[in-house]
Amino acid sequence: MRDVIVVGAGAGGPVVAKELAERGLDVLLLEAGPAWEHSEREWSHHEDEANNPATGIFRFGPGDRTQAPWARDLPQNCFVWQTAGVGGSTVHYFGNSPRAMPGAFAGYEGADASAYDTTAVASFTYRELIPYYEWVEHTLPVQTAAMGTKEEQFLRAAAKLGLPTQTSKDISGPAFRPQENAILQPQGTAGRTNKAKQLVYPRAKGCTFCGHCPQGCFLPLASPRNLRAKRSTHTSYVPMALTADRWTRGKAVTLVADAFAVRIETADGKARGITWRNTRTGTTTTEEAKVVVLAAGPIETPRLWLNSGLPNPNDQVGRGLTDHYLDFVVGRLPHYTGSSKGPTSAARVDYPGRGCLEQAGVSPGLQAQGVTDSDAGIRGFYDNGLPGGRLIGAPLKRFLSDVDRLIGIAVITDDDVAPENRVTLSTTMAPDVHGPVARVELRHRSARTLANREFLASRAVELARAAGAREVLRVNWAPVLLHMHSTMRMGGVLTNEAESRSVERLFVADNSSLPNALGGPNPTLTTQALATRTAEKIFVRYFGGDPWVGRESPVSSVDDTVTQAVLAAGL
Amino acid sequence: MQQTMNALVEFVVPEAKVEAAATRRLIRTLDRFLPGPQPLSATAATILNETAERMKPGAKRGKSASAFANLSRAEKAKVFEALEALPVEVAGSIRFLVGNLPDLTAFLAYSTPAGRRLAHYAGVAHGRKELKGYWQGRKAADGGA
Repeated sequence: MRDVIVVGAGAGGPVVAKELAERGLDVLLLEAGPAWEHSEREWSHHEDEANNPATGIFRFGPGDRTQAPWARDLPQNCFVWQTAGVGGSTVHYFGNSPRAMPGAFAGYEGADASAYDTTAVASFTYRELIPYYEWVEHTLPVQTAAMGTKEEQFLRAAAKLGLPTQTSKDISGPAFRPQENAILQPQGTAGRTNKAKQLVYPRAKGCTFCGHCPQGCFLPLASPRNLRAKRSTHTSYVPMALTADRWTRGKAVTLVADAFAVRIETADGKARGITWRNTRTGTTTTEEAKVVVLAAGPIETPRLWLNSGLPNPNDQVGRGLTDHYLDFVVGRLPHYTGSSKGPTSAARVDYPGRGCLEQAGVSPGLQAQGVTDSDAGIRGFYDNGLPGGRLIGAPLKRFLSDVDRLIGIAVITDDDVAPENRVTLSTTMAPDVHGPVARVELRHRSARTLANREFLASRAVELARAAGAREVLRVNWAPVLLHMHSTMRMGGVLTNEAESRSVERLFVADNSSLPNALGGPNPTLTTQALATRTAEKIFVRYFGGDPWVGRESPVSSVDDTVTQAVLAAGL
Repeated sequence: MQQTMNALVEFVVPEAKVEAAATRRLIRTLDRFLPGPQPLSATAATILNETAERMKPGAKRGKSASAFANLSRAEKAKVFEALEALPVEVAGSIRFLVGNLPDLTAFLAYSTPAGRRLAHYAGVAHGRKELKGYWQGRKAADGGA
C-alpha cells in the first residue's frame, strides 16, 4: 500500500507529490497523458505540430497521437485549452505567476471590499496564504520578467494612462508592472542573439526570448531538464519529485504516465486507492493508498468523482465553474512591437475588484485564432447584438499583415461563481473507454461579471491606443477555457483543508479546489501555494508529522543539488 | 466535402497560397477530433451545405457541388449567423462545432509556411535578440505584505 496516490501531473499534483516525497512518504503520481522523457526531441516550436487541438503534441488526449483526443460534451461555442501529459497545462502556459487579489479571501477589510464576490470565499485569509506563496515562489522559482519591445511599449502606455508601477508582489490597488513569471531571467547570450549555435547552455541561461511559450519550453538547448527557462511542473516540481532521494533525504516519487484514473476506490467512507487504465495497452490496475489526492483538473476531477459514484451532497460537485470570462483586444501599430518574440506575456495591469489585463503576444496561428474566435458574429456582416466580432477575409489578412506590429492584450475578468456553470456527466454523448464523459455548461454570467468584463475591455482599448495603436479590435471572445476553477470548491464540496466533506482521506489539489476566481489573477501560483498547504495538512493529519512552511527553507528547483540529482538520475 | 472545406478556408483566409495546405489540415483535424461512423469534416460540410440550401434554395446548382461554396461572402456569413442563432438547448453541439470552424481554420491557415509569410513572421527560432532590460531597472519585486 502506498502512502499517497496523486491523480494528475499538471500544475497542482506534482506540488503535493514533491512536498510529501521530500518528507519521506511513498507517493505514486499518475498522469493520463505521456511522460515526455525526451521533451527536447518530442516537442516542437511549430504551432500546428504543438497546439493543434486534435493532432497536436499538447492536446487533451492520449500519448499515442494516432488516437483521437478524449471527448467532452461542450454544448456551446467555446474552446478548452488543456494539455494532458507530465506538466499538464503548465507545458503550454505562459508562466504568469501573480498572487491572487487579497479581496478574494476571507477577512479582507480593504476600502474596496464591497467590489468582490464574497458569497464564495475560503474561510482562511490572504495573509495565511503568503508563506505558501513564498515557498512556491522560491521553489519554481518566480522572477520579475525582463522586457522586450512589446513589454516596454505596454508598460510605457500604462504609465501614460496615469497608472502607478506596482513594485510589491501583493496587489493593493490599480497598477501595472512587469509580470512575476515562472520563467528564469535571461543570462549570457539569452535574449542577446538570434543565432542558435550561440544559444546553447551554459552560454545561454534562462529565457532566450524565442517566443514559443505556448509550444512548450525545452530551451536553452542542452540545458538540464530542471534548468529550462519556463518553469512548468515538467521542469520544476516533477524532476524534484523523481529525485527526492538524491537532493534530499526523501523518497523518490513513482511516476506512471499514460495512466487514466477511472475510479476512486473507497471503503467505509474513506478513500482506499485508485484504479487506472493504461491508455496504450487498455489494461487496468488498482493500487491502494492511505490518502488519495485528486489533481486531474477542473473538468476531469469532478468527472472522476461522479464516475466513482461518490456522494454529491446538494448537487455541488462540478458546480460553480469560473473561467475569468476572457476577452482579447489587439492593436495594430505603425511600427515594430516584436509581438511574436520573447515571453508570451511579461507585463500586466491589475484592477482590484475588476480583474486584470495582460500583454499577450503569440505566433501567427494562435494570433489568427485569437481574432477570429467570437460570440459577436463576423465583422462587417452581423454582430449578434454584441460589440466585437470575428475578423475574417481581406480585413483579417490586412490586420495580420505584420504580426510584429501588433499589441495583444488579454482581458481577465474577475467572474462570479454561478451554479449554472458546471461540469456534469453527459447523457447525450456516448461514454468513452474511461466512462461517461464530462459535459461542461456555461449558462450564466452575473451582472458584476459582465460589468467587470466591459470595464476591462474598455481599459484594454485605451491601453492599446496609448501604446500607439492606430486600429484596435476588441474581439469579444466566446468562452476560452484556459483558466478554469472552482468546480470542487473549498467551502463547498471540500473543507477548508481541501479534504472531501463526505469521503475521508480524499483531497483535491488542482484549480477545482479554488473557492472562486481569485479576483482575476492567473490561478496557477495560488493553486500551487494551496497544494503546498494541502500537502502539509495531509502530512500533519494522517502521517503524524509537523508543518514545515514558515519553519524551514525551501530548496529551489534550480539549486545545484537538484541539477546534480537530475543529471545523476538521467532525467 | 472537400469543396465545402476549401470554400470555408477561402472564406476565412482568402489566399490561394494557403488554401490547399489549410484545407488538408482542416479535414485532418476535424476527422481526428471526433472519430465516428461519419468523419466530422463530412458532418461539418453537411451542416454548412444544408443551411446554405435552406437559406438559398437552389444554391447547390452552381460551379461547385457544394451549396455553401456557391454562396457569396455575405451569404456565407448568413449561414454562420443562422447557425449561431440556433438555441443552445437543442443545438449545443452544433454551436460548438460551427463556432470553432472559423477560428480553427484561421489557426491552421496561419500555421502553414505560406500563412506565416502572410503575417511576415520571422519564423520559429531557439532565441531572439530582443532583450531590452528591466522596467525601472528592477530585477525583483518587493517581498510579501
